[in-house]
Amino acid sequence: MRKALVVLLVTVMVSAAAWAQKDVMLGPHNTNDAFGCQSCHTPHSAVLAGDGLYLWAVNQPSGTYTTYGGGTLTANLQSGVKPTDTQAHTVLCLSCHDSVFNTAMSQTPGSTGGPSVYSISSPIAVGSSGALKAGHSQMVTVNGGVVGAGNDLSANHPVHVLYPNGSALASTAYDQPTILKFWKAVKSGNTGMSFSDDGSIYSYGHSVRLFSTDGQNAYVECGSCHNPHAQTQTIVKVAGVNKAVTTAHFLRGQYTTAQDISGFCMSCHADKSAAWDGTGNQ
Amino acid sequence: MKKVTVIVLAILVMAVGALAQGVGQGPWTNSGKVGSGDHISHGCLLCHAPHTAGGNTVSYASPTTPTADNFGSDWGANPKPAKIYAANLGLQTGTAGSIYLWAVAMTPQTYTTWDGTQFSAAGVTKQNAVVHTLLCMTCHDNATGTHEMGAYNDHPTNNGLENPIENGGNGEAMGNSRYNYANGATWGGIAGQWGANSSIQRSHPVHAVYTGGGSMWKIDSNGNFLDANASKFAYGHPAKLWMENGKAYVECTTCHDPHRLQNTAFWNGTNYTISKTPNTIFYVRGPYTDPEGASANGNTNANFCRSCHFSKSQEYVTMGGVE
Repeated sequence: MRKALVVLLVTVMVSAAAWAQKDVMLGPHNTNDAFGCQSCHTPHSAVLAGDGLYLWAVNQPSGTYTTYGGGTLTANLQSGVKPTDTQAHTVLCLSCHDSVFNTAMSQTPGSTGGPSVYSISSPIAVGSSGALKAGHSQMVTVNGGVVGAGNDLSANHPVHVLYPNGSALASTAYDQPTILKFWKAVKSGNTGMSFSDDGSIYSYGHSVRLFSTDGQNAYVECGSCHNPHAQTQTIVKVAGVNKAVTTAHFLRGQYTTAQDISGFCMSCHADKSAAWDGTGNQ
Repeated sequence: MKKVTVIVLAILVMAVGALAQGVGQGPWTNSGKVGSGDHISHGCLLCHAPHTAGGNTVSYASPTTPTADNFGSDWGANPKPAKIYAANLGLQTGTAGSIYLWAVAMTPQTYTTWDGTQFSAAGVTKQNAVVHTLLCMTCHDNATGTHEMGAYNDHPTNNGLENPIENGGNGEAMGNSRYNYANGATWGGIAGQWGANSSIQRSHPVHAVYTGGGSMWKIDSNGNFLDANASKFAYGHPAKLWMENGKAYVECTTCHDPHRLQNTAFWNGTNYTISKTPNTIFYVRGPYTDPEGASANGNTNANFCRSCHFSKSQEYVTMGGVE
């Protein structure tokens, strides 16, 4: 009798648990484990209309941000107007990850009334219990997110900046010693840019995505390092061959061990790697 | 006594489970609003008409004020099978009724899609893929559709399935992406129409060519997915592509089956597998859950998109980016 009741109970519980389900790829970008792609996109009635604006479902900020090193990013995405630059790949992220702009993002994850989402620093700094992890207090105190008061992004890796490269604009934006410290970018397709080395020289590969509109000048945006669709798995190309690897934080490269973590950074910052030859031709 | 208790408990559990799965639904339920509410008496006649007087146009201002030109009946009562005319959509002369015996008139429009592509009904025949978007717009164009069907209430007030004008709603646009949380915070999206001046730029691309390979799942020359048997992507590939001159097109009915509100029908490469219990919403062709409902499942919902958008799937990663 008891056994039968236990079996019944377990059956009911398993059936109930089958409903709510995390998504391996989207992770926290699957809002409330329920919205799937609609966490950011929408098939109808998008906030931003038209090509290049990705059927965006979330209000996006406008105004001018200060970036690392004194640069600026003017967020001015408009419906029906395809962006002429690469800013969408940062501004769309800020529609959520600027917790000053989107106050829902500043709420405690999982709290009543708010989506269970985090500002960018929280997944690193806050553990599952909600307590701050040791050593991460400084990140969290940046207004709970990546953006400081007054649209200040300067405490973050540069975004919406030219990738140092030997092309037209980049050569005037950076001095020669600086350009030579980065892996070479070349034209890809009609208007894109990618790394010259396919992982044959730098065996970690170059999974960072460079954004370009003219095939000559590449920009670093939020989407350069992060793929918002894949939290823990990604593909890297090494010596021309695609390889599935484990990552974290939606990063585009392998990101598991201390070596991998460094390797991801060095996939752009050539001078920090053992494979660098100092010529800027790699 | 104990044995009886166990049996009763088991029956109760099964009954609750069956109710949750919707066993025992009538034949109309699969077509959603066709089978309930104000339109219960019209069934398929909501969109189609079995007879045509050749070229006459059917139009009606409001379902609550029927005229002699329409179904000849009191809306909501038993319809008289009187003069029912298939619509001439303003297309080629003599094509009345030739496009799926369509019963709803449409003011000719030129539509602009997400990527700037434009199309209209001019010269369209049943062989054109765009028919599978145009016919939807006869109702779902909030600006010119006959029933202002381009709008429904936002979530979560009443699950947003009723025509908001008829039912005292607020006229927000179909597919409103806004979701309201308990504290009143609104998660993005806009309230409004499809867009002004026949713009459908705020919607997923339609009348767009589907190109398999690369970031999209591959298809054969007939527009069927190579992985139709779901051996690579277990969710399957429910989207229906429409062929025209050797090209596969995405249209409204690529994602939506207008005849099936909550039960999917899948082509698995050999035959159709049909869900006997409700497993979708909004006439979506694949399994889909209400994000704000008790059965919300973000993984299921994301997989519907991934059934075309290969590069967004886990399988893309495990397969090294190549199908």
